[in-house]
Amino acid sequence: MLGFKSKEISLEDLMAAAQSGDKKAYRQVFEEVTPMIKSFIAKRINKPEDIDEITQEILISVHKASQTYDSSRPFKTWLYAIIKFRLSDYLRTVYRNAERGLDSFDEKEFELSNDDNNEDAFDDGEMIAKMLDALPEKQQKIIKLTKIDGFSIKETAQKMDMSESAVKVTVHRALDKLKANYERSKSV
Amino acid sequence: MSIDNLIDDLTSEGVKKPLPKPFTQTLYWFVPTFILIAMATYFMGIRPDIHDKIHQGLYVLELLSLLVAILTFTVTAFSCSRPDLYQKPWMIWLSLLILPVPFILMYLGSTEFLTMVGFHESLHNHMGQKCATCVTLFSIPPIIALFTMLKLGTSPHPGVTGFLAAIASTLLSYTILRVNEANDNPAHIIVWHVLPVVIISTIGFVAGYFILRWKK
Repeated sequence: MLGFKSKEISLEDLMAAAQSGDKKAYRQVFEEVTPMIKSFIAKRINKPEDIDEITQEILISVHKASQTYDSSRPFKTWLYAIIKFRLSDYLRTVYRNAERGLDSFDEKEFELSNDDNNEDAFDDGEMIAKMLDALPEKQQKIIKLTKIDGFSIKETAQKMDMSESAVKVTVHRALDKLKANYERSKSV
Repeated sequence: MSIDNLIDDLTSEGVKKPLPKPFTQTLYWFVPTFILIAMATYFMGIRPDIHDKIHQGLYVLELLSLLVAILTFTVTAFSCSRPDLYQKPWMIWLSLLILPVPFILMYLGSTEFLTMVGFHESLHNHMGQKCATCVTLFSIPPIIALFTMLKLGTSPHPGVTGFLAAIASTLLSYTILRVNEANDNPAHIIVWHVLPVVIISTIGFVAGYFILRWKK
């Protein structure tokens, strides 16, 4: 059977084992495909800092589409179909933002970092609260539920009518943004 | 969250149960739908000239080609619900090639020619509205069932998938009327049977884009 080899086991066989309930095989699939995804994406985007984020989205998509893989078919073709689909999503967002001129969140960052009263008027806690308010509404809600109100990922997913994976990715992105903004505002 | 943490989380959730192959899914949809359609045909009644019609080769070929078209469109729709189109993208072109065959056979089997007068008369024949209503109403349960099954997949071409699902379902109801109604006037069939198929398939394309699209 065609495919990449992981030691003596092909990705097709690993995925077939995963579909039979073997979680170790499933983990091995992800570990094998992650470098493939990263190298594919790295050749096609200009922002190296986005590679990890896109890779995570693709891994989530692979997981969500896992029921559609037929182990009698080449795994690589199925995987690259998912990668190309998600990559085109990402590029569409990039072009849309380029047309607008500025990312809406960047506009808020610009306002925050150029606020003359920022250092005098606010201490760290209030600065963080302000940065939290600058997040998109969905990210705000999820951060408040998970990090402030103490709800678990599962409970938050139920409240927000999202999957647990989507909640986790949203938390990750929001925390990354908050961290980047906090460091930027501290260095001003 | 790092990629390693994400892999931990995804692995702990495990793989979802694999979907049946597209042809198997087609049978899961087609068999109960066919039974429903057969019951509907029985209650609506079969055309009084059926004994003569089944001896006409073109009529039988038309019905068989409709059956082949319905199955082909459905298998293609299920294939399109996979990210890689089940690695059979040529099925979409095959479906489009098969599509005109039943209508060509219908016209060849008709004893009347297609004329502008015929079209004009058909448009003003309000009894035809009943045919269009039947084509529409009978296609709704199969479309709903098909969309529900297709939603389990992850289609990179949701509009095309929706179109294929809608046309397969409306061809089923079109077939009922070909068995029920003893009217082989091609103008009448095109205006009141085929046109609803076209309209519903177009709506299926738009509905597919919104309902079947692969969200993050």
